[in-house]
Amino acid sequence: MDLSGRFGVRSGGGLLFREETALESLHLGGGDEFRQMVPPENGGGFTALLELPPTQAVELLHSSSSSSSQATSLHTLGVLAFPSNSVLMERAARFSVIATENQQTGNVSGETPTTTSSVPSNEHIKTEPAETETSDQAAVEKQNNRCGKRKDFDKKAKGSSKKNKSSEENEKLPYVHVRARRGQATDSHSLAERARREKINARMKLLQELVPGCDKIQGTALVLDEIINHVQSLQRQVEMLSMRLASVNPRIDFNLDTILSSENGSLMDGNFNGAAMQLAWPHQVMETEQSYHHRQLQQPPPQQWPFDGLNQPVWGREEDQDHGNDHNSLMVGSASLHPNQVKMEL
Amino acid sequence: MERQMINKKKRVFSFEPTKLPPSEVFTRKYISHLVPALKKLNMGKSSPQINQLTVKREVDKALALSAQEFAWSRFLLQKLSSSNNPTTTTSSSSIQTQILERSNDEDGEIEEKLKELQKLLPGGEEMNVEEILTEIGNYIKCLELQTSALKSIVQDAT
Repeated sequence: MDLSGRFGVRSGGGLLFREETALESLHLGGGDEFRQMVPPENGGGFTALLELPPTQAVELLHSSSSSSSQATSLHTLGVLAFPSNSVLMERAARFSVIATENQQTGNVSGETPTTTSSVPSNEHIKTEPAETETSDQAAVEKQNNRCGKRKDFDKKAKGSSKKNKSSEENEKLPYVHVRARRGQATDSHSLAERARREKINARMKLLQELVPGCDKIQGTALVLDEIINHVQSLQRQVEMLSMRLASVNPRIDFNLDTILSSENGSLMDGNFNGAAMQLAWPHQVMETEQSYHHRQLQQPPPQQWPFDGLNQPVWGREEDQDHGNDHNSLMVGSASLHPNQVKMEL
Repeated sequence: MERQMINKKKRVFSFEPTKLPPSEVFTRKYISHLVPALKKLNMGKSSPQINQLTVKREVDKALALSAQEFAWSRFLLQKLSSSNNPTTTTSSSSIQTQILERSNDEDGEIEEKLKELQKLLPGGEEMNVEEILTEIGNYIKCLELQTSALKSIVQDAT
């Protein structure tokens, strides 16, 4: 499948585990509204992710599911004023998906109020741009030669609302489509070019956010420089740390207490899923670990109750300790080493 | 019966690993891979000298095992399993062909930088530009997490 079409926007936190910045961080040409790409409604899910070869990476990064995103995504797309007639849905079925939106950030309310506000039904995402959109997208999806000409025509016929937008997305269309700006070439090669370039630029922006100090830099080369330096410094750090580890290793007794106390809290936010750990190593519940587990269970408030229910009976048979006391007596912020603890007993 | 309930609950929770932020998942996995390996190394060697190279290998292996969703981790594992053989870089011309379309004078620089980036990333030689940029992003993140995990382990030990 090829990309000769519009460019889909990936949610902002795309590259890294930044769900909270999902929407703000990504910019396209001038199309600030179009921050999301939604999976097609055909339920086929992601047939092929154009940008991320492993779908698991997408799952990991975006943790969204196609079915659950439809409600919010459709609303969003209503904002984006994309038509969703049956013709387009057919076409959508043939193409592959670009990106997903991050469900955990809730809806894209930041952007939704910009254009149309009410998109009640799933089927009609409309307004006038819709009609022109329909014809336009129909043009886009057909072969590129024809597409080019029609685009030019439609482009001029369209209102100025589309003039500044370099890319648009359609939830039904898994393809990335690039709309030609005024005065730009519209043959298939340059379209594909442009799509590709925009994708690359989007990635670069994400990387810029990731690497500290890259925001201020102008120019791809310098940003790449920074990235290279950052990676190199990280690799050197890892090397040095592993050297230190090697020198220290013989004396390590892997004492759980000390490991836990030194582990800094930022690593684990206390969302520790004790049950998951239990599942992984169900036969390894030990007394010392239990106390840590209990402490952990107290930390994440929202998830507390299931774990308590879970763990108490299991560990109850092995220790009669008062759970309350344990929680405060041990150091906090070291949930990260639960697997460590468990594994230590191997 | 309580046991069954517990088991049921266990089963339920096992299907929700995504509740954890990925960074935590990674850190946990990483530590759970690394520490036992170190312990084993510790036990195995009677001599106090633990080979730095071996430790580095374990460190890298833990990194790769904890991040198996990413392409570079597969390449890293490959490299590790072919252990001491230095990997010959396949043609770095892979970048050249990719970037050729954009090349003008300025982009020539960019091309070189991308080539360097390729070398830094495990498996970078076999990726095209987009993939490199994507993978570099999560590689950086995993490196950062790895660094902090290592720091805490080392701090704890000293």
